[in-house]
Formats: sequence, structure tokens, C-alpha cells
Amino acid sequence: MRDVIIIGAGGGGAVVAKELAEQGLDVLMLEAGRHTGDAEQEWPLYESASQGVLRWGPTNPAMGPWRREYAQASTAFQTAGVGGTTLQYFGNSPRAMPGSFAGYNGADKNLYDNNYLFPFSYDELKPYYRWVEKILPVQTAALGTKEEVFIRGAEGIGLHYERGKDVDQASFRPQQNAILQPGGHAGRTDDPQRLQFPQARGCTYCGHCYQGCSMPRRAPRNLKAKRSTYNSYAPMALTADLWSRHGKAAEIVDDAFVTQVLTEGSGASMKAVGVGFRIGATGETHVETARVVVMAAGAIETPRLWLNSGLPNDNGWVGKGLTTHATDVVTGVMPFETKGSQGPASAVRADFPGYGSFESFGGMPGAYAANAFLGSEAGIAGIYDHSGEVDQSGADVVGRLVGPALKETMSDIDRLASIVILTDDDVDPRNSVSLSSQPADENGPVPLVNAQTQNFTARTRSNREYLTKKAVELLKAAGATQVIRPKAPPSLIHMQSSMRMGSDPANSVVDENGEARAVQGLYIADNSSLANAVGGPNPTLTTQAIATRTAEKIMQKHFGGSGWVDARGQPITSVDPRITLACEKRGL
Amino acid sequence: MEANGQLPLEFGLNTAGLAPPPFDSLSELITFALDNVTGFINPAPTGPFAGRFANLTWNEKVAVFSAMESGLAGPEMVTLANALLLYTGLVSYSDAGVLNPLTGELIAEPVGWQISGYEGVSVGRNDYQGYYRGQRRAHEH
Repeated sequence: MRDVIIIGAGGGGAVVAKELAEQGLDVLMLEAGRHTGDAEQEWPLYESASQGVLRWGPTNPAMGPWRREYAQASTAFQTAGVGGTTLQYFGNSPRAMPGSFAGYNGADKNLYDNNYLFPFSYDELKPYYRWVEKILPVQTAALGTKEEVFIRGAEGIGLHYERGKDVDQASFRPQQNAILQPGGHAGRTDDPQRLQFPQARGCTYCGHCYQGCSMPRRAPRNLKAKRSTYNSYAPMALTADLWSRHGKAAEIVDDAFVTQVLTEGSGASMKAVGVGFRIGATGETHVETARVVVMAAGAIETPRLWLNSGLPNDNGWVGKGLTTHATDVVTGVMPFETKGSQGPASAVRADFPGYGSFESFGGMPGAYAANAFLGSEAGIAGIYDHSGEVDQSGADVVGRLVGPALKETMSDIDRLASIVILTDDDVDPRNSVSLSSQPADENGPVPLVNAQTQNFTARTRSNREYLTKKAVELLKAAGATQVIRPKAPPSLIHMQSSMRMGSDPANSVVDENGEARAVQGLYIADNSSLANAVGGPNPTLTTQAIATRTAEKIMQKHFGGSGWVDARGQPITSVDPRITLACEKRGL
Repeated sequence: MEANGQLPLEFGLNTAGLAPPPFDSLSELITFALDNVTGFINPAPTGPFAGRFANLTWNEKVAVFSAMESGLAGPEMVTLANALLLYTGLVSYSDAGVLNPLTGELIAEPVGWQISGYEGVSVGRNDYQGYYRGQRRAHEH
């Protein structure tokens, strides 16, 4: 019997694994996707090639992705593999809005989703934020050309410059990114010979954040620029015996899809005792037992696994209350160079407490065209608009671009400046993950994801329009000659709160410690356990801070330990030379 | 067409999900759906292609998508229309049409790169502009 089994080695699971392995527990991570060996070889820079490798799907790229049903015209942006979706994320690591937490008494208190607050205070979480920010580490982003364009617009509309990590007024700032900032030749040349580690350190401005980030070339795994848990928390967990006095190395089994959470007892005494899982390549099934089970499969798969396991759902909130940041996109065509395809995907942002956030983004032409211009709930720009709403965002063009209009607008990717809207959207039980009536796949009934625009509350709609209008103003102030708003369906890049924590047992699945209310010894440590949309900021850092707090609670309740985040001054960071040596020794 | 995206698009659609009988693949089902809606716009288009939709004029194709996205034919058609346009654009502007899956290398410069001015993949770029107001660390309040 293991001490702890963690389902999913992504943004949250790897954090729990590292923290508990450091404490000397016997930790097993079961990961549905691949544990990449050599990222430089396995993660191509080409868009289409990476889509077969970095995706939500089996480890065999010749097979299609794992199926899901969607109730709206959008699909989830998720990745299987050690590192999970942090393999493809932008590394943006802002803290949540303080108003999303219990006990907040700011003047704007009434602007938030007050029916579904986090069950503890923002101040309670701050030590955990600091802890994770140190380990990853999170750093202030340097600027490239597209960031300078954004800032020119932000200054132009009179936004306040926020110098701190905690946001208490409408403001802009360079991102707090889980990306090592450029050093040496990085960012200062495109000569491959001078971009090898250690002559180049940190972000090389290659523009391939979507493709996993294997830069700089020849850097040790734990010194790659983007701090996915693949190269930060996971290697620390796998080498905990080598750098922590009491540590025990965690184990990962990849290509292992957990299909059942096993329990014993019933009613109030039901307890998790292990899991059943299936090896993708062979179809073999296995059972593994543990004193504690942690679900960290993501905001879609965690409720799917719960429901497929037949676990209790007495209050009906399993899978309910999915928040997605009700995203939208606006793009400005600039009469000057923006270098929209270069540099980190997003390195500057603006935050509007009570409304949400927005941030710049860039990337390669395929994803750029799709994300910026082609997804729409309105229709084809200038020809038909079925959205049924009068658009008051101030955009010059509303709807998707096709044909000559798309070709003309996309004729110079490095003169575009794009912004993604991240709305502080309301928890609403109509937005949900449930089981589809479509045929099951090899891992059981597949999930149905419902995040329809028609389910957005009045506050969500109002916040989304407020932010979009501000983003259009910013782009015009930056010099845009034309601003396009496709009216994109909610792009499922951020998904939270489908297994939400809360103070009220009537509308939450886990308690304030991350433990399931219905099953003892079963914890949730991914985005699904967030109480709400965290006010709009990107959710990963908050998930990782709470996962750290949950790891402490597991240690205290089940293994007789005490907390360590407040008690110890500084954690060992994932870029520490001891971790580099440990990775080398273990062949990582 | 010029981006050589037909096969990648067909593969992507066919591996995205199962098609109900009598269709053998999702791309076959989608072709049927498009041609079915086409019948309401132009019942007998002429042209060099096997599929009816493919032989429509640009304006007629727009009319087909407008009909699909109106919602009158059901929410599935709205989703399908959006997904088709999005994935077609994604494939056309990416390197999918010229990537040799066996070698992982390009056999030609992607059309999407040419028409977007994209410089091509790189292990790094020269675009570091320093830190805003020289501030390298955010403050703790």
C-alpha cells in the first residue's frame, strides 16, 4: 500500500507530489499521457507536428485525441503528459483577485461572485503564493516589441501601473510569468550557435510557448525557460531523496489512465482506498492501494472520473459550476511592427478588480489565425450576425474573418496585436461537466462539457463587455488602424470550479482543506477544486498555491506531520544547483 | 487548396470522433451535412469537384454557413460550421500541408507562412527590449 496516489502529474498533481515526497511519503503519480524523455527531440517546433504530441490524447500520435462532447462551438485546450496543460500554457502566474476570497472588505466588495467565495481569506493563501513563486520560480517578464505596443496603449488610456503582486485597482503591468527571463545571448540574437545553454539562459524569445518550450537548447531539464511542472515540480518529486534530508523519491507511471477511484465503507464512513487504472499501450488493467488518493486530472476529467467511479453526489454539485473566464479576443492591425509571432506568448496584462483581466498574446500563424479571427458566435464579418446582440465594444469589425478579409488581415502577422479577454465569470450550475450519452471510449463514458454563452449570467455578460470595450480602447490608443472582434465562443483555455471548494456543504464538493465532503481520504488538487473563477486572472498559480496548502493538510491529518510553509523560511527552488545535479544523477 | 491542407483536415476530422451509421467517418458525415444544406442554396451546382458544396460560388458557400449558423437546423450545425471554419483556417495557416510525418521535416515552405509573413520556426529571436521602467521584480505589498 502506498501512502499517497496522485491522479494526474499536471499543474496541481505534481505540486502535491513534490511537497509530500519532500516530507518522506511514498508517493505514486499516475499520468494518462507520456512522460517525455528528451523534450528537444520529442516536442517539434512545427505547429501541426506538436499537435499530435502535445494534446489531450493517447501517447501514440497516430491515434486520435480522446473524445469529449461539447455543448458549444469550442473545445478544451488541455494536454496529457507529465506537466499536463502547463506543457502548453503561457506560464502566466498572477495571483487571484483578493475579492474572490472570504473576509474581503474592499470598497468594491459587491462586484464579486459573492455567493461562491473561497472559504478562507486571501491573506491565508499569501504564504503559499510566495512559496510556489519561489519554487517555480515566477519572475517579472521582460518586454518585447508587442509588449511595448500594449503598454503604449495602456498608458494611452490612463491605466495605473501596478508594481506589486497584489491587485487592488484597475492597472496594467508586465506579467508575473513562470518563465526564466533572458540571460546571456537569449533574446538578443537568432543565431542558433549562440543560443545554446549556457551562453543563452532563460527565454530565447523563440515564440514557441505552444510547442512545450525546450529552450534553451542543451539546458538541463530543470533549467528550461518555461516552468511547466514537467521541468520544475515533477523532477523535484522524482529526485526528492537526493536533495531533501528526509525525502523519498516519488514514482511516476505514465500511459496510465485511472478509470476508478476505489472506496470502502458507505455513508459518512466511506473512504478512498485506491484506484484502478488502464495502461494505454497494452490495455492491461491494474489496481493500486493507498492511504490517501488525490484527484488532479483537471476540471473535466476529475468530475468524469468521480461520476464513472459511482461516488456520491448527494448535493448534485459534482461537475457543476464550471467557470471558463468567458473569453473573447480582440486584435488590432497596426501600421508598424509588433513582432506578434515572436517572444513569450503573453508577457503583459491589465487587471480590473470586480470585472476580470486581459492580456496580450501572440504565436505561430495557424493558431494565431484560428484564435484571433476564426471562432465566432456571430458569423462572418460584414455578411451575417446571428448573435442577436448589438455590439458596443467599439470594434471596427465584428464577426469572423474569412476569404479575402482574412488574407488581408493576416498578411503580416508581425503587425498584429492581440488581446484575450479573461472575464470574472460567475459560478453557475448550468455550466457543467457531466457524462455524455455518446459511446464510451476505452476509459469509460466520456465527458459532456457545457459552457454555453447562453448560460452566462448578467454579471458575466456585463463584465465581458466591459473588458472587451477597454481592450478595444487600449488597442486604438496604441495606434491600431482597425480592431477586429470575432465574438469568439468561450475558448476553454481556463477551466475552473467544476468540483468547487466552499464553506457551504450544499454547494461544494470539497471542504476548505481540499478533502471531498463525501469520501474520506480523497482530495482534489487541480483547477476543478477552485471555488470560483479567481476574479479573472489565470488560475494556475492559485491552483498550485492551494495544492501546496492541501499537501500540508494531508500530512497533518493522515500522517501526523505539521505544516512547513509558514514554519520554514525559504523553499529550495527548482532551479537550485542541487536539483540540476539530482536530475543529472537520475537521468532526467 | 494551395496550402495542401485537405489530407490533414480530413485526418483531423476523422480522428476527432466517431460517426454514427451509416457513415464510415466523421468527414463523410460532414460532407453529407454540407451537401445537404447546399441543396437549399443551389440544388445543382456545376464544377470540377465531386462534392456539391465544393462547386458553389464563394457567396453561395457563405449562404450555406449562414444557414447552418442560424441555428434553425439545430445546435449541432452551429457547432459544425464554427469548427469547420476554424480548423480549416488553422490547417491552412499552419505547416500541416507540407510536413512529412515520417521525417518530421518540411518538404516546402508552408503557404500559410508565405501569406502571413511568418519568418519560420527558430530556436530564438532578437526582440528583448529590457524591463518596463527598469523594474525587474514585483513588490510584495
